[in-house]
Amino acid sequence: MMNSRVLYNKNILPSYYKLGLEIDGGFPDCQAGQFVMLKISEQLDPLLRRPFGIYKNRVQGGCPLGAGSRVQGIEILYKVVGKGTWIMSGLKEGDKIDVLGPLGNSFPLSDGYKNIIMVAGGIGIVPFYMQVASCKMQVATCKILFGGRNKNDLPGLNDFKKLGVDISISTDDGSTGGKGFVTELLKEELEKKGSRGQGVKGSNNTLVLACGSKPMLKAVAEIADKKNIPCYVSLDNVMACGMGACLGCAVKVKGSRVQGFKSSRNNLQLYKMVCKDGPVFDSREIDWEKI
Amino acid sequence: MKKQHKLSLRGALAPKQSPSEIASASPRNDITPNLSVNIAGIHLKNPVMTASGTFGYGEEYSPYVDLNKLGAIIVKGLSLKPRQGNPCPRIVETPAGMLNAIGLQNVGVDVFIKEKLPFLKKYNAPVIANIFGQGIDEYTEVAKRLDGTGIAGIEINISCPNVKKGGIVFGTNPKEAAKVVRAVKKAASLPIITKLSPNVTDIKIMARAVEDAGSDAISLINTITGMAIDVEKRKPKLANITGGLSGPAIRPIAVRMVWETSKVVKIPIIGIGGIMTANDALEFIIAGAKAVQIGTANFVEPDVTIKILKGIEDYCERHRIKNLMELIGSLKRH
Ligand SMILES: Cc1cc2nc3c(=O)[nH]c(=O)nc-3n(C[C@H](O)[C@H](O)[C@H](O)COP(=O)(O)OP(=O)(O)OC[C@H]3O[C@@H](n4cnc5c(N)ncnc54)[C@H](O)[C@@H]3O)c2cc1C
Ligand SMILES: Cc1cc2nc3c(=O)[nH]c(=O)nc-3n(C[C@H](O)[C@H](O)[C@H](O)COP(=O)(O)O)c2cc1C
Ligand code: FES
Repeated sequence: MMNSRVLYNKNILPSYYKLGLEIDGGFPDCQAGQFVMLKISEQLDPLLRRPFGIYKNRVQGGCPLGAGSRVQGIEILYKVVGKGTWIMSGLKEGDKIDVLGPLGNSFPLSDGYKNIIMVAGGIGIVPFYMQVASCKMQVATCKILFGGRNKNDLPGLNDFKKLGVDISISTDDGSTGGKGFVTELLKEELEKKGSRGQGVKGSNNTLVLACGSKPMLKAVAEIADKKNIPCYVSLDNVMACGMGACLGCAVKVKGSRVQGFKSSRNNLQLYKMVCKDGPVFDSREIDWEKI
Repeated sequence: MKKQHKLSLRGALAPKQSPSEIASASPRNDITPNLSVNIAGIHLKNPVMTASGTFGYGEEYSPYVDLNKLGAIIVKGLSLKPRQGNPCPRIVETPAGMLNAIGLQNVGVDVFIKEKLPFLKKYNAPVIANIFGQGIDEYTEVAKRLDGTGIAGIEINISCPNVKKGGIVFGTNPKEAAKVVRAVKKAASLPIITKLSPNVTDIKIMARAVEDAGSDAISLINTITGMAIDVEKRKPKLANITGGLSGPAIRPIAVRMVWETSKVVKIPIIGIGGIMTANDALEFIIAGAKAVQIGTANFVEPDVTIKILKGIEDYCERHRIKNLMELIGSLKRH
């Protein structure tokens, strides 16, 4: 929990903003996939903090917070969707904002995978900027498949182009990249890699990571599952506490055995908390029917 | 949506002190005020406790709060067997509040004793176990298992509005409420606090019924049943349809109920409902509460309990109050 200072709040595309926050000491151990809870207003409405992924982390390099300066902090990439994010869009340089974090788990590191495919829908691109950096350190090849509704729904695209990472784009209306869903790109990509299931050469080397809307994640999980390729998804849920206390951000899982659950109906854990057990989950763990 | 420059954040980002707090940088007492209170034989260093279900099992908040500083820690409601809770979505924000329908998900009393309590025992704040059951048998069995484990007391939740078979019957019916209290009293030798539901016509009747049944103290209020609808989808915003409203939105109702209750019972009252600041807590104390519980505010500011405690201390110093007891139920007439 710390009071941070707004360094900038830039409107980069219609509805999309980048918020630079100065944080004393930075978040040196922060990993791709983790998030912060922001107290956007001191008023009672909106009352609760809002969760946002950490897009860039100065400490791990790459964040152009006041280039050349020693300022430590993070960059948030956000989309205005409601009251809280609308208030955020009015933040100005020098404003103070309370940051709680970093919270949650992170995407698995390469673990020997050679090809990492990251599938992002719109604002779901957020965790992948830092993930690309860690992939590069681990000499894995990474490929980004980025989908949006239209050309204005691909926030941060230029940042990824600057990183020089291999990126394919699709938009629902075809205004940039191929026309269609990003899941089509994933199918094509997996065909290319020739990874048709377990045992086929190459398949064990591929890992799929995804972040985006629930229908998109569900489709990605299905595609990866059919090919027997491991897939991790970063889930989004309404949160109150962000630290596993309120049990409000539950997600239905297929059920893992837990101690203490005695009767047969009860010996499976049916819910996990997105804030504490996630936000990143093995896609096979999630009960997609109930999403 | 276009960028909106009109919105002023000056108000939003103003310092957190209230005008009265800023105005009164007046001379202070030399002596630190005595904030300790005794509730049903439980000695509290100060009147600030955490409300059940909003502070996990304490451990979740230990990175942010020195648990030793708390008056008491009340843990998430415990049942005999672990409970999975309700389908999602379970929470939704409402103006100055939130609705929850967690469905009393918890690890169960045995796992609590084995895995959660040892951590809490490392601290010197008294631990109070909040319990609930689907029937009187379950209440008494949970209470029995907690007896002798080193906890300081039991808070009986007769009021959770979320689970269809759960507390609702007990919490709104004075006879049933009294039965639970009597049974739990008999089952365990621990101090018993009964937590009342606000979803009744007359809180005084419920308060008297549980006092007569032998409850050592009363805490109130639990959440108020509410509902929110997504008009685009014409669907309830919670999977459970209805949920419990908490947060600052409910505070005036809670203060009124504490005040009403304080006039009809002799046992100590613990005030709960929408407390965000020291001033909010003081409202309850002046209305007649001997202690307070902080709930939803923990989500917004994990260390809010410590800030509230400090604020109560400051208030007492400013008003030259040497002992918190002077303040309890000190409401003046107009
Ligand atoms: C771990 C995590 C990381 C996130 N990272 C980012 C990020 O990097 N950038 C970003 O722009 N957003 C991110 N989000 C989503 C962001 O938290 C919500 O958009 C924000 O809370 C909306 O607040 P609001 O007050 O503007 O909207 P509200 O007025 O609260 O709601 C507006 C609409 O959005 C829906 N909504 C609100 N919160 C969520 C949510 N958490 N999930 C799904 N739907 C929601 C509501 O149901 C409603 O329909 C993240 C969420 C999580 C859980
Ligand atoms: C997410 C959540 C979970 C809760 N769980 C419990 C519970 O298990 N048992 C209980 O007696 N009260 C429970 N409550 C009620 C609170 O303890 C408290 O009475 C209520 O929230 C009002 O206080 P507040 O406005 O300060 O939050 C819960 C409240 C919330 C918000
Ligand atoms: S947001 Fe409270 S448990 Fe996840």
